Amino acid sequence: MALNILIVDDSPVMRAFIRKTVGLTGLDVGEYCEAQDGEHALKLLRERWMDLVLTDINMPNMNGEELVRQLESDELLRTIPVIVVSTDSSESRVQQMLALGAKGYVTKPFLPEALRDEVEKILGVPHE
Amino acid sequence: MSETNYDELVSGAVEAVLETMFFSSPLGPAEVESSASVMQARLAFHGRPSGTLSVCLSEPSARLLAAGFLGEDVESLTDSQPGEVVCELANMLCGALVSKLESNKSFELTSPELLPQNPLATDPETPPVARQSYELENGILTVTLRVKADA
Ligand SMILES: [Mg+2]
Repeated sequence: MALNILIVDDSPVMRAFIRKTVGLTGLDVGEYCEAQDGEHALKLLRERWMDLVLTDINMPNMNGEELVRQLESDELLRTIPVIVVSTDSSESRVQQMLALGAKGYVTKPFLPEALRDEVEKILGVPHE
Repeated sequence: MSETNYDELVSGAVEAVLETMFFSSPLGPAEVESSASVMQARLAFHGRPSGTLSVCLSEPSARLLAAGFLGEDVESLTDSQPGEVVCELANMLCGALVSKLESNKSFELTSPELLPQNPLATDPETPPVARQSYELENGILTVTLRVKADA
């Protein structure tokens, strides 16, 4: 079944980069959606079903930390796996985001394979 | 922390970011470029310590970097993409640097913004702790790191 993927980042070129990288996975992607902050992401998630959320942390309006909190507090949305893609590589931040409910964490800069591996691990996609 | 080697931190971050996400690498050190057609992005970081990081590069270099980053031809870039890529380069360099400065604590980064011309204007309040220029394939990248003294 094709998967819908939401990419949340305040940088349009980073959203494009992530989208291109997800395209390198063995995933059957139905639809890509993009949001520039947590607020926009929540709005989209309440309108249509997404199978995976890839989110930045540092964003205006609503950051990635608050987005993960909001998703966790929603009975339905909390079932969607979230992978954080952030420049913050501090161990305390990684642990904090995982404790909040994120399923994976990739630090920018990342090799395309690192993001691909994380996405495939979390969605259980076998390697070709 | 004892003596921080800011120059080493900057060059390590530049290499890591260019090689992993831009499929490019610095060809060597260069002189600071004082050409008129440059793009500069700056952002601030807050934590221990706080400061700013800015990157500056010529427009042709910005376009080449953007094309490499997005996997597109230079001709097919939109007008805003080179600037957006310069901002994201500043964001990633800053994240990589600050993570090394303070590896156990999280920090806040502001959103990078493109600055108007005259990019290397000095900030008398906070002299840079590191300013390095690198030769890229088609121009020069200058990275300036300023760290505020603890209040
Ligand atoms: Mg961001």
